[in-house]
Amino acid sequence: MSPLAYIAIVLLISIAAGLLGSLLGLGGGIIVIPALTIFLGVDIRLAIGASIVSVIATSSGAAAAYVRDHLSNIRVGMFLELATTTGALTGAFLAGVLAGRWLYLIFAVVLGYSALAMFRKRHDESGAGFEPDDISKRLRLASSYYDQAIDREVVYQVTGARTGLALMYVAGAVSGLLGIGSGALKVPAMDLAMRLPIKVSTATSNFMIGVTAAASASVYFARGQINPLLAGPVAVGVLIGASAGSRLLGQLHSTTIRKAFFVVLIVITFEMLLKGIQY
Amino acid sequence: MTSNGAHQGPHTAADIPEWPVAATAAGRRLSDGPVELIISWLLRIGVWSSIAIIVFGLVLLVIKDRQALVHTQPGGLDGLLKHGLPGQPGTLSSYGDVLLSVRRGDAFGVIMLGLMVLLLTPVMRVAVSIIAFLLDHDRLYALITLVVLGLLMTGVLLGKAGG
Repeated sequence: MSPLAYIAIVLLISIAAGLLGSLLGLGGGIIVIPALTIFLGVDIRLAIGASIVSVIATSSGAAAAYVRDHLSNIRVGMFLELATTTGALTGAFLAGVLAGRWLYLIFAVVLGYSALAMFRKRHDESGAGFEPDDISKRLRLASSYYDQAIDREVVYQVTGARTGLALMYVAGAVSGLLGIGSGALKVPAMDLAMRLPIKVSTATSNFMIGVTAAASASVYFARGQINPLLAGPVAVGVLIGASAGSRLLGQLHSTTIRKAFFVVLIVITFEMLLKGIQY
Repeated sequence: MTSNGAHQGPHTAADIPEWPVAATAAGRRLSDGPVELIISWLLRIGVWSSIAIIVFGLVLLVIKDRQALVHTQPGGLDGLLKHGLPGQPGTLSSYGDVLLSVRRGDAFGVIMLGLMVLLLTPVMRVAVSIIAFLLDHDRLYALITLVVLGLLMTGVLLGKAGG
């Protein structure tokens, strides 16, 4: 195939990654990395560099719309970024100390559990019917968003700020260690522990993942893992996909997003199990 | 902006009389503080300027290396990425390299410049949020965001030192 044909294929893959990532609060790495390495035979180092670019593009592209539309809860995002950035730093220090095999296996178990927990409450709408905790009250985490799918303003409360913070610390450490899983762990933490509505969880995850990825992006850049011929089309494609996706999220029903997220979590769980076993 | 958490249980905006203003059809509130607007605006500027620069670089690539781009080379995509294109520089892995390459008019340098703008956008978002929260007289969140920026910069500096 000619270089131009490859650029076109990478562009199409990236549009799909941006679309799915913006809807589910993921960086799109779960699409970009396997598609590039398995189908196109790209070196994993360059695929990871492209994936980091994809995460930042999804995050910035989608969050521009989500923040304006109040789907991203910026207070929750900023508060939790305290934990994800600390976690990412810890992860960078621990890299090399912990065995990769066990990390992948533990990660798979956590994701599998999250998937089941999220599936069990698939018809449940979060954000109401409970007492907010003291930190959530003090930090004014409660907010509201306009849900286009049900055509009304949804007012929601937030709870479990401590648990959320602890889980985000773990999520940050995992992404610092393995360079993956920031969105896949962030969404369940906000959904299950802090009981945010699912759309707010995925939109806030989108808001946050760019910052988690930015910390490691400079390292990949300095190591020469950002290739312009690959990362350029990835960035353009993901930004197109993410802006389309960010228009779609408001209109989709929460249960649809929950089900889609469940399927993707199961896929990542098996991917991580496989990596742990093969390690 | 939001209430102090005094309202509990399932309810819609209509149930809360003191809610600032009703939601508009577009999902935006008239009482929007400056924070959301400033952050959203900054993200849009970062995203659109980076996409414009990258697309310009790709167009430049097609114009300059048209011959190399339409002819099939051995080694697939991986070979292409490792060997690069005849008229373009090899790995660009520092800000200085990228700027030099842009000054030479290389398409790769221009694409990398666009990618650098994209990679710096989240960091800029955090930095600008501090100002946005201060404009909103929200010292607590300005402080939280300042700590996040500090942690982020520590990570970037450590990464540079170690990587």
